[in-house]
Amino acid sequence: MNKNRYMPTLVCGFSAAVLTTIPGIKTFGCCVIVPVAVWFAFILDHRINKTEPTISTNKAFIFGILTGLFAALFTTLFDIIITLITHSNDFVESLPQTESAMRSLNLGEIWEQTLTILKSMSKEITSNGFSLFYTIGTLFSNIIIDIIFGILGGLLAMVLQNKKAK
Amino acid sequence: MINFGTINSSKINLSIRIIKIILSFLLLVWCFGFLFASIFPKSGVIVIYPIIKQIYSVVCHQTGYKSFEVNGFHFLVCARCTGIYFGALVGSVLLLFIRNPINLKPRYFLVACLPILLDVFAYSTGIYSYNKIIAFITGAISGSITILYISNGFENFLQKKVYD
Repeated sequence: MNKNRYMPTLVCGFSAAVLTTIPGIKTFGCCVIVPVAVWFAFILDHRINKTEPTISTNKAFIFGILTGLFAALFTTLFDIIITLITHSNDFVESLPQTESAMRSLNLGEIWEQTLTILKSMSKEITSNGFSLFYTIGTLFSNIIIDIIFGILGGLLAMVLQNKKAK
Repeated sequence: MINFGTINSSKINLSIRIIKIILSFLLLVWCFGFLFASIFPKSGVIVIYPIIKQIYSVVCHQTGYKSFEVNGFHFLVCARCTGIYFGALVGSVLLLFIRNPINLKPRYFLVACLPILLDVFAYSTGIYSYNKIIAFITGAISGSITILYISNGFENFLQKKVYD
């Protein structure tokens, strides 16, 4: 088995995670970072493994899933490290705003219970720099969303690349 | 005598229609996800707002002044992303009524993405200040074209599966 077969997905997933972490890049990149990373994974694969310029649907799916998965894992890892160092993150910073917006709606007991959980997570982050509940939640949402966008990016790259190669 | 070619063809057409419907439905759910707080600001489900916000933060910066605000709640994605997803949703619904295959060329995709690049360049260099409507329209153009390619990708996948 070729060891380098899925190396491009690892490299591009890692790069996507780095770009997501850099402040400001996400403002421009938004939802295109992971799909573009998959596209670069195909280009890298073509260069390293000397593969065909055309992309099969199976390969589009596998590359999309793997790049999305690696991007999600590295994004979560970087998020954990940065939160551990700074004892703060977007969630902690935006919680007071969310709280004030929700309080004005007078949602009652359910909201109070939700808020208690959210505040305990925020408190854990500010005091220890880590919250298990927050980390698990972030990891799952990153994995699901990045894999979906990875697959979409893979399919898009496949259609464009195959039409270009014709 | 059974004509396997006709069976395969009708099977593919049916599968393609189903996948288009699923794609539209998923896009509808996705759009509803970032709009739900603005649509139902006083319902009980609003308590999950912080969780949903966290999920959408994976795909968007969620900057307040770059997002539309309705009923006191910002959409959970920026104006450009809102445009992209709405464009994709409209495009996917329109695709349901198109039976003939569309001849997609790579340059159409590049042309569709050009307005976004020009808008980002223009407001970043100070030619004009950020405008949510422009961001939405440029996103919608790109989203509606992009979904054609993604749908085409799913069609290719299905055709391969059926023939295999």
